[in-house]
Amino acid sequence: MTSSRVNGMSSTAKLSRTAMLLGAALMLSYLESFIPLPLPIPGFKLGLANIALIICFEQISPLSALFLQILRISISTLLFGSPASLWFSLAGGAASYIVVALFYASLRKYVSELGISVASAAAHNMGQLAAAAIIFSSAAVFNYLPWLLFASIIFGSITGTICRLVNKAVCEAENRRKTGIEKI
Amino acid sequence: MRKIKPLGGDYIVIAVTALAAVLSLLLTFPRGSGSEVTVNSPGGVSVYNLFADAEFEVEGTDGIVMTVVIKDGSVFAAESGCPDRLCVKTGKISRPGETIICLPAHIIITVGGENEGGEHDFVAG
Repeated sequence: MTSSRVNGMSSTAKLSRTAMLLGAALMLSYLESFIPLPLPIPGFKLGLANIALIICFEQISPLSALFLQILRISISTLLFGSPASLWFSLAGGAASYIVVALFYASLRKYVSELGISVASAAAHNMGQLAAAAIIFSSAAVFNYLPWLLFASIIFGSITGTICRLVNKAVCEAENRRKTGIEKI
Repeated sequence: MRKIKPLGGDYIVIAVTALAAVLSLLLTFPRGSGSEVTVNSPGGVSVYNLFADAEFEVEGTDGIVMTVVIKDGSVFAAESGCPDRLCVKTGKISRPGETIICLPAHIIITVGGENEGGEHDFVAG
């Protein structure tokens, strides 16, 4: 699996690819605000921007993904969010980053982007609920936990599958480019 | 070429998440009969009788105002100035453990009563 990653990338290549993914993540956050929520659960999101985070882990590095996550949350809150939503986004974003980083540090061989995406969505929701419990000083917010977890499985699988398809396409393009260079 | 077939660990992650969802559903499933309504807003916590019909306004963050109606032993958000209006879409709640949350306004409405879990103590305390 590691062989499929884009290795030996120059720092300029890393920087420009992370920036491209940040742009894609912001576009996905914006797009998401137009899509009516399929489920009436407070705090529920499609999590499309998570696609960019996992692709960044897969193709670039955990450090780049950390920058991507921090910048994506701050910029999208400034552009499309409200100050009240910042703490929920930060808590969810931190929890999902940590979970994805743990998977990439140890379990990536056994779990694909699909499982990582589901775990990341579940972590995002739990982080968000923990922030809500603190802000509201009420544990009643956890009444929504089961529904958010079920939603994580469904929508995490969808975004995870998109990640797999994108990563596969990028790897194939990269291989074609390399063999092309060798021929020349 | 990479295949996009799921790996074994994917099924484990999904199974663990599903198990956590089912367990938390069993723990928080609404049961029993409600007797009171707790409204938690940035202005503080107030408790109402679930069986005394009432209509009042609750002020949340960012100047959002929510109209809460208590009628025939259930409570619902009739109107709200928040952007997503999920609190209004949640509809009527009447059993202990059921909750209406308005994230943008930081308002949370819970039903309390018999057979409830530890949640109510947390709210009141």
